[in-house]
Amino acid sequence: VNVSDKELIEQIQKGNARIYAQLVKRHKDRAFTLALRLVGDRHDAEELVQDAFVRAYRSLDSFRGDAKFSTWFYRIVYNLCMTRISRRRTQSDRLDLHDDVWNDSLTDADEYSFDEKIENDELMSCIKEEIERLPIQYRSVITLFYAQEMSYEEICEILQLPVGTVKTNLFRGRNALRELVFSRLKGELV
Amino acid sequence: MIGKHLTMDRLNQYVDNRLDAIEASEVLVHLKECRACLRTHESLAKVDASLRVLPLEHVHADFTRNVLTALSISPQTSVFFRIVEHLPYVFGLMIVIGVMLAAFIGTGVIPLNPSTETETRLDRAWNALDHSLTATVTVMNSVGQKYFSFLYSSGTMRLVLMSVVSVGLMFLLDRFLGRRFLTRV
Repeated sequence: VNVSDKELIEQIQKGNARIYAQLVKRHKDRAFTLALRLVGDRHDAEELVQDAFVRAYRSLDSFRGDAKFSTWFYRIVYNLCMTRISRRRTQSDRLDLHDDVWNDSLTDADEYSFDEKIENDELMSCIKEEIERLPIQYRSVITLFYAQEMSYEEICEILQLPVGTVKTNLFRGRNALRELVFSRLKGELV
Repeated sequence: MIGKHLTMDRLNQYVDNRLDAIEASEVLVHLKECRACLRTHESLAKVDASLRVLPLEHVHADFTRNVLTALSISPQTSVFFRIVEHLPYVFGLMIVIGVMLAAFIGTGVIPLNPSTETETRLDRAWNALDHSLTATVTVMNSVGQKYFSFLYSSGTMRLVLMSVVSVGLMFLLDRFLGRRFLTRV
């Protein structure tokens, strides 16, 4: 039976604490994917997601049913990850990609077009690795949009950013990823 | 007429299906005529498609249990699961005891049977292991016949024993593999 998050939360609020296991099972892998993409370390990511689940449970009484649990919960995960990142201050070793040289117009010869012969598996594994190199603002939006399958509006709620910024970060992130993947594949082919 | 190239913003919106029908058809017409924009669109669409099917990362199998433990919530487990989940320890213990007995008897620490001149230490160890396993099975069998005689009336006994051994070994294997497949909660 496919019970909604809201129904599960209602049962937990009525005192059936064990039901929380179902909520954890439902969201753990998506939350872990988000945390891992943000902090880049499996152990840290798992610890942060566990912490997020504990905090979420303790705050369930204050959870308002008008928002989706996933949006509320991923905001907790995101905030915890950002706190961890700001403590570590290791972002300087990430790529600083074209933030100030974003060119919205195309030219006749777009140099980042893929070879038609490229295999899907090769492209996917390359993308998986290159996401790690994107600046955090792009990584977070791309992960929420694709792994969490969230709308622009839900991402806005989680990141507390205007829709325009979310869209821009998604578009720039995707394009930056395209450039990174192209450069890597080109490098491997030469 | 090709006209000006499409902007990246426009192409991204097209990839995300964020354009209305008229805007989308304009982009489509342009892509049919402009090779540069078409190639860019193709590569963007490939990245988009790959991102959509990128598999999720998975937490450790004990993750849910750890969360519940941190919250002092006892996990909901059936009596059957509790019995079955301890089988690997019983099997593991039996193996360890068997190997230890074989080692002790093989090295002569525990005398068993007078050995012949030609019998090597390896032979003695093997015989000792054989003796200890046979003794364990004999004891289990006699206990079974005494208290669970109904199981010996047909081939049921063999079936039950095989099932218990299979489940136990499966859990033992799962424990060695880091409990990736079977979880408690």
